[in-house]
Amino acid sequence: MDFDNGLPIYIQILNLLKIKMATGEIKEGDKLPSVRDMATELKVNPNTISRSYTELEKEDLIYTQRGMGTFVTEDIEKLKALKKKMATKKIHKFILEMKELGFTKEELSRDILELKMEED
Amino acid sequence: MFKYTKYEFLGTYKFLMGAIGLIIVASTAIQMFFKNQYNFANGSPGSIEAFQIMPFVMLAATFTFIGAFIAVAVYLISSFRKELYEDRGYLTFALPMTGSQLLGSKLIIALFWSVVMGIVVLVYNMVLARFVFGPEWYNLMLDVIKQAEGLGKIIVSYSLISVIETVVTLLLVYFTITISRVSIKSKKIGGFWFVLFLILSSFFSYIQSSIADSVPLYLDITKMEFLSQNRLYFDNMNPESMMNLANAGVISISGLGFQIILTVGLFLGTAYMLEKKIDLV
Amino acid sequence: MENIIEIKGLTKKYNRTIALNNIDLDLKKGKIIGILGPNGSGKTTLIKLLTGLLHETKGVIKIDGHIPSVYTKSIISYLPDRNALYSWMKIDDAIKMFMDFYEDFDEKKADSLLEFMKLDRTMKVSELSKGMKEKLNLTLVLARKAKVYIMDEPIAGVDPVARDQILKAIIDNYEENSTMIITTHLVKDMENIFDEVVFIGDGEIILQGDAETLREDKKINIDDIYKEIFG
Repeated sequence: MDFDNGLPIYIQILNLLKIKMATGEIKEGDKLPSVRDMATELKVNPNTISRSYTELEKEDLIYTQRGMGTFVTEDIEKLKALKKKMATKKIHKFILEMKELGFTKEELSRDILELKMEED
Repeated sequence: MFKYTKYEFLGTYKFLMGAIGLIIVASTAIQMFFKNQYNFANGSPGSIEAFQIMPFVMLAATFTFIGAFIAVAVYLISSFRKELYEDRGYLTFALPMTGSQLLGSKLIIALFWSVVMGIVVLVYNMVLARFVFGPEWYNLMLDVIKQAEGLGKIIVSYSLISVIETVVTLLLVYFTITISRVSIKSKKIGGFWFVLFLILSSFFSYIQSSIADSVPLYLDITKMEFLSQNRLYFDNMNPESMMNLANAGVISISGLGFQIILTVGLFLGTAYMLEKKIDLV
Repeated sequence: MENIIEIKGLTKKYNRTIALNNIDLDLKKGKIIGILGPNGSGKTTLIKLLTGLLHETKGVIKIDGHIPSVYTKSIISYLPDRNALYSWMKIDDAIKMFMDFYEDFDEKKADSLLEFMKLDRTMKVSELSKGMKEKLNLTLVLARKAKVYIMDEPIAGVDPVARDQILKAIIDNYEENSTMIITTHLVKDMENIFDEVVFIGDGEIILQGDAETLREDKKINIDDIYKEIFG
């Protein structure tokens, strides 16, 4: 996996995991790879993976059971909320970027509707 | 101490066995040549072709014989030198052992092979001679040997002295190689140690004789008596007395003492440099 | 968190050339540390001073509280930047030698690593390709449960597939109680495994810090920082 410039790797990894959880690639209750396995797979420092997992644990998205491993939360609502949060973030970002390009709210709504009609 | 000795042995035994094998073959050829000459001189029938080939065989055998000894000497020395100048030193010097352990291992194995070679050559040739030239000749030699008084003791003491000589020489070689490596950073001037060796070798020989002369304490092995200069068995006025066989068993104690001190000094000095001063650049 | 290595005022001179100039460096236990710099920067000199292949001109080196000695050699597992194995050896001989000299050598681990690297005990060292020799050396180094692992350019001169195997083996071997010190000039390939990085150039330490923190602060990769410093 190629890592972006400048963003700490642990953040990039937890984002990667979040995306997978949002898209459903990783489902509720799924077992996550061990820190060591993930580190070896991605060729990164195990401490980095540890940190990602810790952050995800803080957000209640995953939990660790001693001796059993690390698992995604069973709570589907949490995952739904995650998906929504990530979508919202992206939308906000998109809107900001469009504003920078000079679009107004009306122009934007009209163009998005047009695009949507094309896709349909 | 002996951990590394094992690996030094494993690394050298193939070459040494080969060299010893060659020496045995060469010795056989040489003795056969002499036997052939003897037969021919005594009118035994022998093929003309064999007679013509023999000198060449003899030449080849002699060169092989000498060459094998030289090759072994070069090989054993380079076994030490390689540790200081080649990549393998990165493994050797990363091993958790003291300079003494490393040096001791190299020394023990080099000495071991020197002694083994010496004994094998001697014993093989003696046994072969008995077969080639017949038991009568052999027993004749034994009688002559038995005549000389205390020869057994002389042989033992001379053997021990040869061993000490070998040890001193080996240590001097190791010492000069090590000190060259420590003082000259450039790897290209690799042959300097030999010059230093010759110089120190002559120097220490000179010192040894001086000490032997100025501290005249001798041991007559055959009689196990201590002597000092004026009781030595020779008499400067009478040159023939110099040939007196009785003098053969006389060892200079002071000279020997010097050699022992030199051995210890060279060993400790080299071991210290190997452990504390070596830079493998 | 205690320091496993403490270096003060370390200088190494060869006649006129100064290879290391008055270095101060402390390395914490349990980290994977990258010593980064171009060829000739002094990183290999530093490594050799730690492993006892060189002796300092001035200064003090302490490894686990001891100066370089037989003890420190016994707790350091060293992967040199060249093949040092004796040419007469088979892989089996090398393993036996390591078992003899290092109490922390784990034969089972060695065998499993050999399998992973697709090497066989009966092979002769002299018949191995460069990549295979590198993998063998790495096997011997990682099969020990050492306090300190020091690897000098572990992936240089090795094909990309072998590189991957080597990196995976290194990560897989990481223990919290051990420290790994790795030098490289191939920063891009290795930067993700480092906890901490130390940039060395012209015999001096230019920058030292936590890898992630540096990424966060400077908003660029370690490789980019390297290019900035040495470009």
